[in-house]
Amino acid sequence: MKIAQIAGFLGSGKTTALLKIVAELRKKDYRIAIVVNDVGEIGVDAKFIEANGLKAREISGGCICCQIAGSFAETLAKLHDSFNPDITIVEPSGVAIPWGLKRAAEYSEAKTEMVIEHAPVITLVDATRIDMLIRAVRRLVETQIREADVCFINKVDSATPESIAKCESFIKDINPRAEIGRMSSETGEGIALAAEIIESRVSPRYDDAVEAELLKKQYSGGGK
Amino acid sequence: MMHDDHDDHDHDDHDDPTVEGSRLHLEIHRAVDELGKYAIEIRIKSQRGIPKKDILGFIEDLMRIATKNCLDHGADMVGHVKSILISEDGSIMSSIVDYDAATKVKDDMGTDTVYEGVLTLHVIVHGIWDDVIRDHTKEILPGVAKKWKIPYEIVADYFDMEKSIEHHQ
Repeated sequence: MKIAQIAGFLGSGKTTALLKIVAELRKKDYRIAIVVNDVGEIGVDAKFIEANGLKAREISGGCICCQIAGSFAETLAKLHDSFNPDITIVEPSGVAIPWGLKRAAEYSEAKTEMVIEHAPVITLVDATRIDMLIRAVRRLVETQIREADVCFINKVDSATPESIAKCESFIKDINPRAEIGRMSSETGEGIALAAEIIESRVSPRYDDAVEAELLKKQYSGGGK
Repeated sequence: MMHDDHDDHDHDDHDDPTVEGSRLHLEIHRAVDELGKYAIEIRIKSQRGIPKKDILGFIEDLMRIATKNCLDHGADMVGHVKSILISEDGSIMSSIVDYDAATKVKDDMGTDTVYEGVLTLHVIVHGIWDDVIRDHTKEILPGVAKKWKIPYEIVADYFDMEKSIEHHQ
């Protein structure tokens, strides 16, 4: 089963992008499951997804990359056994660590007969408030960018060219290996590309050594 | 077998990647808690029905005034203030990520009169704790409901300070 995570800070447009990407993938007849990990005990995102005619499994009560990794793994195993999706799209809480989520997803292999494959980690960066994010929650946003395979600068339809350029420079500084795209759920820009990336590419499995290296970079104080 | 990644948190060895991982998780979850969060679910019910325009006004005022109240009492950034009203006739989703920008509304309510629905509101802001957000959200609810003549009852009311770092301690 392929796991595709769409990471990004709160309000970065993950749920709206997810809906569009799922619609794109369903056009190609993929069986898609959706797992949402909202902040807090009462979810809004899963309700919104269901109001748009899709089913979503909601996991609450903590962060799926560590606190409730067991619940997440259990959910994936049950989804596999009951629905057998081609791709499970995961919307983490906005504060989850992508590599931690990979590890948690792979726990599900111990619960049922399946092999987890990861789509490239996609991180959305909100171009309309990049300055505010850098000022208030820089470490968190840096982590999500550092651990991404592909970063989409989101909401480009309503951001200034300067803000978009700043996002691009910020991403390149933190994660020079990441592919950078532009996205707007309003205009549809980037949606087909994101779906194609999820559909056709894979990202490495969880590796202690890789995560250790990422963490060391995080704690060395450097951006790269 | 499940792996417990939270066993080593009290150590302080910066060369140990396991400890570094725990430290990062702790820091990230502290960052979450710096993003104070509060959620409330209310049932709106009226036998005579409520015009949708009043519902939209109520939601807009509730979200903006709650956000402003938090910003006036120590919050320095909006994380995400969002709500969804669900009734048998559809839904209205609203979202604020920047107080100075207009509230984003997705109106999929297929009626002009709402008789019953459940509104879920999340207020997530940076810089103040969950209980403070709760106070500053709940205190404005009666006034906003009165302004728009919205009969309501609270169905669920949730906050949990520093829940996400409890397991690290």
